[in-house]
Amino acid sequence: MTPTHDTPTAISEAWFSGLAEAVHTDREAQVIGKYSDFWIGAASSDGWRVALNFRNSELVPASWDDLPEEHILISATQAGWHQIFDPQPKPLHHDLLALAKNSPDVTVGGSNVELVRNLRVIARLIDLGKALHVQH
Amino acid sequence: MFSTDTPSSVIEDVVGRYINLRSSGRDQRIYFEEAGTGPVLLCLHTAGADSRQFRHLLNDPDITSRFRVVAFDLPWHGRSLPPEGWWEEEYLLTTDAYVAIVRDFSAALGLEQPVVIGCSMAGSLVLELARRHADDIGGVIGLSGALKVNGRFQDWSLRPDINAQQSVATWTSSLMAPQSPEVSRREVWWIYSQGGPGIYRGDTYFYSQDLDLRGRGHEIDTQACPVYLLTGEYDHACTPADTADAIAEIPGAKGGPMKGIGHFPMAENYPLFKTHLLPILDELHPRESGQDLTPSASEGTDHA
Repeated sequence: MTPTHDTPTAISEAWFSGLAEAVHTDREAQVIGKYSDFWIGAASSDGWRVALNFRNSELVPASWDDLPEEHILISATQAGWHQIFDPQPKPLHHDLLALAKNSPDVTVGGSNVELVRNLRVIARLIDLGKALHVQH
Repeated sequence: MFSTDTPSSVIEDVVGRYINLRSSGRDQRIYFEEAGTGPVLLCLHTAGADSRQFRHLLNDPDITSRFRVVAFDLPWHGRSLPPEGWWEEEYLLTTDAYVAIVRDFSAALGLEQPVVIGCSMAGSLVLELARRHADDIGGVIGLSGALKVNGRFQDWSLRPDINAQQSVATWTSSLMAPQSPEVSRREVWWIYSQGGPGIYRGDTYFYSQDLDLRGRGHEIDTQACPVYLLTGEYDHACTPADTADAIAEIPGAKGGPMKGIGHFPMAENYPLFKTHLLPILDELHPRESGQDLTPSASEGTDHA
């Protein structure tokens, strides 16, 4: 994984461009995501939001208006986003499913079927995001 | 035939065999593995998985030098095929059928007073075994078990537009501690990826729907059958709080949370889990040589 030096430290719309680059160079994501095609709406209570399309092993940030009806919605406070990508999380806050249950700062909504259907790739995306966090 | 690599092969002492028996009115061909000699340690795997989860325990000479370790695959799991007619039925594991297959397997092998160690759904099952059959069991060790565990029974794994092979495995991987060795966490994932369609769901029918021992903990006689309950602090399915509730309700039960580990302790981080297991085994079957290398069973946990 080789994020650019311009990858911002705070999680924001721009931060996801660094994540997309990490996905592009990740061997596992390239293998497991070959036949995937799904959308995530990522939103912060701080006001930023970004649509993410994962398709053919690539993560592509897009306009919110591009989100299809069937998508996964992850909403969090800024503290919640840091919990999601925390490389050293505390117990019961260590994983997206755990956070959805236990953190008041993180909400996972939208299509549950899309979430479960693409859980393997989503888990890898979050691991890559955690690694990205470590580097800053 | 010549090896193309540096010779370093090792044949493990673990032996696998099949036993044919009848349980709940059906013929079953059960696969089991065993190693060691001594009092029996009977190992029960988690929902949707198989006895490979106990391979580290089966290969640990600190254990097998003192215990006969036996682990079997439930019907529909691992190398135990489902019984005839499986294709016409919805698989839903019931408490009665689960208790019966464990007892029938033990009887068929002639296992006497086994210490039964189970994880996840089996961590809860051992409480029911202790409640119903305390006199036949030398003790139970429940991992990730409680009187009632909610939320694991889900229908999505049977949807034709979901690849349960990947999704169930990832769903359950979420329950492990991130600092557990990656190779072990990946192995847990791999075993789950090989479960039959609807089997994880059917197992969790027992775990989250059929079994509810709340209010019945006092029916377990820990004088006749000692009870130990351990749950990893990263487990968000059966939480340490769920297990603490069980310990509080069962008079004489011991155990508590395990730091730095998740829902699959014997598989996701065996070296760490072993530090919790050995003191319990020492209490149940004290070392004959007088050698005492381990702390008491309550040390390392928050509850005595």
